Amino acid sequence: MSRPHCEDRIARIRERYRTETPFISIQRARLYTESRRETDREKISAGSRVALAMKNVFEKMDIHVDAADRIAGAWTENYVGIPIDIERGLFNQTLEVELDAAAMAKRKVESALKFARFLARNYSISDMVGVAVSTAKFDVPPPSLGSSTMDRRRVNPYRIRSADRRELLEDILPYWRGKTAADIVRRDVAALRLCPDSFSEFIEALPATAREVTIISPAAAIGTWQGHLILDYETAMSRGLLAMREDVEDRMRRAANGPAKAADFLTAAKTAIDGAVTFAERLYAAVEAALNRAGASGDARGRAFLSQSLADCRVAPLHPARSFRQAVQSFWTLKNISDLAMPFNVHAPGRLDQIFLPYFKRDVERGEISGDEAREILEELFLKVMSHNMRPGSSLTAEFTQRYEGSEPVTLGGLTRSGEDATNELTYIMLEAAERSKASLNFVVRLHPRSPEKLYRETAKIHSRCVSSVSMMNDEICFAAMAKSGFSEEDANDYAITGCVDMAVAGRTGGEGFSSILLCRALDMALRNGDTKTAAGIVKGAGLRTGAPDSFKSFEQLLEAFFAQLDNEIAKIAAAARARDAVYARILPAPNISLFLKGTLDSMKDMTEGGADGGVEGVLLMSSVANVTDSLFTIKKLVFERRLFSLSRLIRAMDDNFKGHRRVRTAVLSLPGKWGNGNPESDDIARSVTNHIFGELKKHKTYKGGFLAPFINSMTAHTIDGRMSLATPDGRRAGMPFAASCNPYNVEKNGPTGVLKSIAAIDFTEVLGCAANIRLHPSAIGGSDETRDKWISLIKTYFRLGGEQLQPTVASAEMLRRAQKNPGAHKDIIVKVGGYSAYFTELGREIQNEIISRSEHS
Amino acid sequence: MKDCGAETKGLIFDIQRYALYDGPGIRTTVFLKGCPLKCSWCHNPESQSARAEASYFGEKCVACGACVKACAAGALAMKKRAVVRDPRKCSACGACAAACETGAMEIIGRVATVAEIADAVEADRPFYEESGGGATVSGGEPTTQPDFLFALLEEFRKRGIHSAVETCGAFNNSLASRLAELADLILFDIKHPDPGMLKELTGANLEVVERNFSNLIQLKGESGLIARVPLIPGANTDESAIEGVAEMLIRNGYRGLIHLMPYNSMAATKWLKIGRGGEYRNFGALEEDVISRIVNQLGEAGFKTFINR
Repeated sequence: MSRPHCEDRIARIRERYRTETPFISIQRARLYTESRRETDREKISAGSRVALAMKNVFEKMDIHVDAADRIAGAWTENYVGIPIDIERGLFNQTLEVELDAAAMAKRKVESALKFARFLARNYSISDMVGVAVSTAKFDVPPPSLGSSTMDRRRVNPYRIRSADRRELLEDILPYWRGKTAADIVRRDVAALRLCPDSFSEFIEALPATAREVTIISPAAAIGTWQGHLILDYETAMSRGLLAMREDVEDRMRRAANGPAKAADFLTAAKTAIDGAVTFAERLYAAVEAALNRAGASGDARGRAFLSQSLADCRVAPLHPARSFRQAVQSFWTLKNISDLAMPFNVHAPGRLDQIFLPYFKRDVERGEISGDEAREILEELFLKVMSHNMRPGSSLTAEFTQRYEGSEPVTLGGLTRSGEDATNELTYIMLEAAERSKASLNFVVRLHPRSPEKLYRETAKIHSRCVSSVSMMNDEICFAAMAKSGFSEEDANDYAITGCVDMAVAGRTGGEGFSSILLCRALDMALRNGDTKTAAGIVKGAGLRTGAPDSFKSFEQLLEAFFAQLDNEIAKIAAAARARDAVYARILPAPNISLFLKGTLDSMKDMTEGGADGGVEGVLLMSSVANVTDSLFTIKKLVFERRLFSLSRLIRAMDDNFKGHRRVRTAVLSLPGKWGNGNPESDDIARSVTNHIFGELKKHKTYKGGFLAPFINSMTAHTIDGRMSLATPDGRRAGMPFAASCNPYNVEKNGPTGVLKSIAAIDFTEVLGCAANIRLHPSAIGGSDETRDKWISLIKTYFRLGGEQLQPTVASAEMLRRAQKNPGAHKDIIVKVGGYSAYFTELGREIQNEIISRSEHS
Repeated sequence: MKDCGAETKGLIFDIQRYALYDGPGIRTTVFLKGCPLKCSWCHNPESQSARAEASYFGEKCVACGACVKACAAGALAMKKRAVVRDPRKCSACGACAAACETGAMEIIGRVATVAEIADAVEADRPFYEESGGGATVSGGEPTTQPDFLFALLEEFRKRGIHSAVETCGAFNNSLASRLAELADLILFDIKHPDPGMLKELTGANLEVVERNFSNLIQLKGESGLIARVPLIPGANTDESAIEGVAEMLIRNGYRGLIHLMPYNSMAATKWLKIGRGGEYRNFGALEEDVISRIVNQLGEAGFKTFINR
């Protein structure tokens, strides 16, 4: 087969995934519900009900096979589609409201009425005027639901067939009202009464429909779901599902007279693996049927693919994979099975360059595969993995997200379990496939002092060619962080990334939950004596009464008040996360996932009960380290040291979005040395705030007996929360995004070294995942080995200073065009052409255009 | 009394970190203000004047008028939503820049001490250690502030920071030995090998430049000096100019690496900002085949080249 042919094929698959409007695929919801209705009155365990419902799905759903694919199967009945997690219900309300124009309009009126009631009950007339006045000073409006239904909206639309829409709205969704995990989590968390009633009313009045997060305070939220894990695909692939089924049956025989709970788990596990086997067998049959259909038509290539697929699916994943292709097919079928059982749960692929290596080597030795052919199959696999990364989100947040969230990264390089360098030929093939496939999927390169120089160089080369999907992890810091969290040395050596940036061990880290704490909101509570102001109004008594603003005699006193607010929020998160986890253990165990985790069969416990291991509650530090550090630094220098104005004066300026407070704002903005410029004084503030949080988190336990661990990653929350937030003391204006993740906000024109030094000032040996992003033009990495070596030195230095992760965003022409339109949000893009160095937004329009054309050509 | 040592003061206009093309490894480049040459392709036109000056970037200006109000000398006026400056009245006092919220008004050039600069350079020490980098003094022409330059180099040496100096070679011949003694590396620009052309294009005297080159190469050897040629389309990229460069290097005993610095027109904005947009001359794009022809030509003359880009 000629190469251009292959490229066409991959390009067509990419185009389909990128441009076709995805279908909301309702078969899973229909079949799951059908089984639930049948078992409603039966006395069987919650785990068995889940397994039976999924078995019904696996037995009856239509299996999609496409003749242009070399890896067979899709996770729904459509090529580009998403299933509905109907029983968990993260998006049930979104579908109920936003698939129907009338329901949408009704919802808006209802929330407006609720909001008016909330205002009338909690505010005096002067308060209400105050809210209206300060919102009027916003330059950007708070997020809104809009009026376009999901299939008509501009950003991330989804389509649904009209019969499906009717069935979903009239039959399936009504059945689940009040029964989903999301509903019950919300009810149980509300029963904890973590916040004043007025705040609950406030939340009820918001037009939000999605239930991905449950808001528990103005400064804290918990993820409604538990997810984030990496399944043990390796064992399943090398042993086969049939052997795994024998293991379950064997365990059932041995535990025949054991405790009822264990028996329940094993019964559910047996049903779950029967379901998985059924899906695999039906995929084989579907490929066979497709081949028969293709027999008559003339497409020889499609027929060749299908007969190869048929041979692969006969073996994989029922039996041990015997070739690279079978290993890939096995992985993909297992991923479809587990992703369909628990959609949107983030089951990252893990260390694919390790898992596939033995199969690849064997094929190469036998002369059965070339590097190019392996790469082409991997390109297809990456695009397919990408395609599972979408969610039917609400219009309220659609504009803040992209179609594919890239949150199931592939991990490359690093060490073997025994501590040898693990980089191999597949590592490089996968890097190449990452670039060529243009999959919007993240790739994580694990680097350590013994990584081959070639790995650094190939990674740098990819970056210099404008590929921004590849991030780098500093193994040494990661090992230290994992050791502190109790992982063994072998497991630490074997870590991979799931979620966006979360360290996990395949098959061991079982279902991390995620919560978030909004740092700037907690600071706001300290500044307003326990009240807080948002774009939608004041929430009174949301935090602790830590003192009126001008009662603080020193910066240290204010810092103490802030820490007290943080501790209070962390305690709320711990309590709410425990309540959530109890709900899952009680009503929604995960037998289909537990099958692919190590240790569950031995402990005879479901993952939701901690069958795999303790489980981590990740607490995301949001909105953000940079803005809170700069706010504290600004207050320290200007209010307490230089005494330019009082704290209450600064708060008034924030309330007015700095309008009419020129003197205050100029002083705030011109204060040099904020975080991100390598200034030890602000770096110290970042370190002490984060260290305080790390210490406090350790005081709490999860439902499963695990621990709360910090993650510094804001995903898209920094923009959404920014939109809801008033101006902050660091000079950030109302409604504007906060800095993302670990990124500094107020960077002077000091280049990347100061940024990296400041980031590295945080003690990452306490952090199990973070995202640090620097943006540059490819010219700042350069086109020659000499300049790329300097770039590598930059990364090595950052790692030596204690940096954990770095993801360079290399400015594409598209990003630079955005920077032209919105220079304020893109101040940090560095351009280096020859000896010439500048920030992109500082250049004249004509020169900018020239630089854009350079990006296009690279 | 004149300040000396670490307290020596000089006029700088920028400190750039993570410089990639100013010597080995990752470097921090300190730009001194003031230059004896007047190259119309200059990448740093704001470096030419030996005094602080005001700069105005129209694309950032929101025409709020704060700077016009702040200017006590009455040098500024608002015309068609843009600020116009009367250079005769402006003393670059900085009141306009202080009043400007968008950063459209800036003052270029500030007095700094050697200690202050060395501290700023020191901040990136871990990056130099990893990459084999250090500090580079550039300009302008650093030798226009000789006491300041030498005090800086002494301070870098005292602190164990590798130093490089970028020079156009147009300085008093008596400075060469001290420069050779204090700088670890000299990056020596050769802009044109013909005395008449050099004078016309840059205003420099080739005899002075060549004598400095000759002295420095003798004092530093090839490990301590790199010859650099800016490639300006139509000005010095023709075969005879390149041949002349090769001859000049050979007759002075230099057989080392040549850094080629392809021209780009990125600096146009800078000329506009300092109100000298009219003096900027765009030399147009440097074609790839011209660069490869030059690389070949110098290769035939026995020189290895490295292209800075």
